[in-house]
Amino acid sequence: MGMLVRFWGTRGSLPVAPRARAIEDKLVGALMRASGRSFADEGEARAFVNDELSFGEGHTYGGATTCLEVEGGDDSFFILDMGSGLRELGNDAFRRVAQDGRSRTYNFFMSHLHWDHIMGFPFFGPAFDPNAHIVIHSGHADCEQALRRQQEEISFPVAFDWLRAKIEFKVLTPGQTYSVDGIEVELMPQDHSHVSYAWKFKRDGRSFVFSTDAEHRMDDVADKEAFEAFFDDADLVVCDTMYSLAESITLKADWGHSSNVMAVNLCHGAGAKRLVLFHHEPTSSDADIDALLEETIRYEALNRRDRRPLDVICSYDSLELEV
Amino acid sequence: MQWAESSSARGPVGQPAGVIDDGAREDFLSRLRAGVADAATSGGDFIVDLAGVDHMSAGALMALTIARKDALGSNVKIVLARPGPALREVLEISRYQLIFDIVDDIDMREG
Repeated sequence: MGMLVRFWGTRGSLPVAPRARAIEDKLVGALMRASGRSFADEGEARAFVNDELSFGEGHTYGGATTCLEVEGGDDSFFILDMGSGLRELGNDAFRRVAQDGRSRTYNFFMSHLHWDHIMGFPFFGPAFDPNAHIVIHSGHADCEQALRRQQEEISFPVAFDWLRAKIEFKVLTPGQTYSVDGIEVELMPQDHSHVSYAWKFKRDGRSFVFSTDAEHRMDDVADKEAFEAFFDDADLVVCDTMYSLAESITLKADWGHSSNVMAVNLCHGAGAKRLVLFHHEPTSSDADIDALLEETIRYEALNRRDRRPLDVICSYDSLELEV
Repeated sequence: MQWAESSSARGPVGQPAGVIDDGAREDFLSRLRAGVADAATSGGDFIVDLAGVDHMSAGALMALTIARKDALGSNVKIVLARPGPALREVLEISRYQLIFDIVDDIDMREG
């Protein structure tokens, strides 16, 4: 048995929601595309939306900030980052605990402590469950300080100390392999303000890498070699593809993010099997993200040459991928 | 990678050809830097004629980026000329048209 990766929040930097006109535009576009056709039932209508419209025309990539879940550990929850997507995960966790008898142990793995990656924690329902055990794994020794600080009175009405769950902080060291509830875990530092960490999860010969908020500088050969080694032969790699390559080396250089082109290059060099585009720019529309995916697939084909084909996928809130 | 040189009304021209893979990165970069230095001396642009380039790897894109930094410091513009359709796609996906001039022809003259 491998792992299942579920995306609860895929947007970078700031939560976003579609404005009224964006929904109107999708409806108008779909009606125009249908061009007077009628549908016998809901199934036919859904088939039209799913088969004849692009993903961005018929859906939305979503606007919650970084939060992923990995299923496949013994019985505990595995949660990557605490962005605004964590609120819905918490609500669904209550359902699964009640319906399926799941363990109330929540293992978190933190890429870093910036606002968009921790803002969901004050809204994480299980933190108020006195029978819950929350274990927060981080490469940062100041993780607890960051979480406490965002719940200080000046920022939030509910203090950290009012949370009822048992909350434990564990600082992990890059270069070591840890076994956490049935999954092997490693972390690696990345170039980002106050440092961020990539995480690798392995189970039954399958590997999944989560690498967000990482700046890969084109002239840094050591960085390239280190990440190709960390991504080596991975079954699934989630990468920060917030900017275009040109943006990442000019206007937005040193902002701590990377591009679709660099992500493909690293995955090609590593022989990874699937790349997931992630940490979408908050100003990007669904059409922009459709175009990002299409262009990245094309770049992969142009850059592949004699390498193994790399499957390119675009993340959206609620996407599930088997590893 | 092969490399030839000529000149144009706009300034010196570098003409790489073949595949510019990661192994050719340092050679490509040093030739770009030399071309930028020539252009700085003559007061023109540095034209990189890409018509003969079959493929440009990530390392080659990196070399262009590094050379661009040098060029900015020398007040020289690097112009990417005549990329083939596939290479033009790579440059446009990278949004290099926003940081380089990409043109379809150059005014060549005897070097």
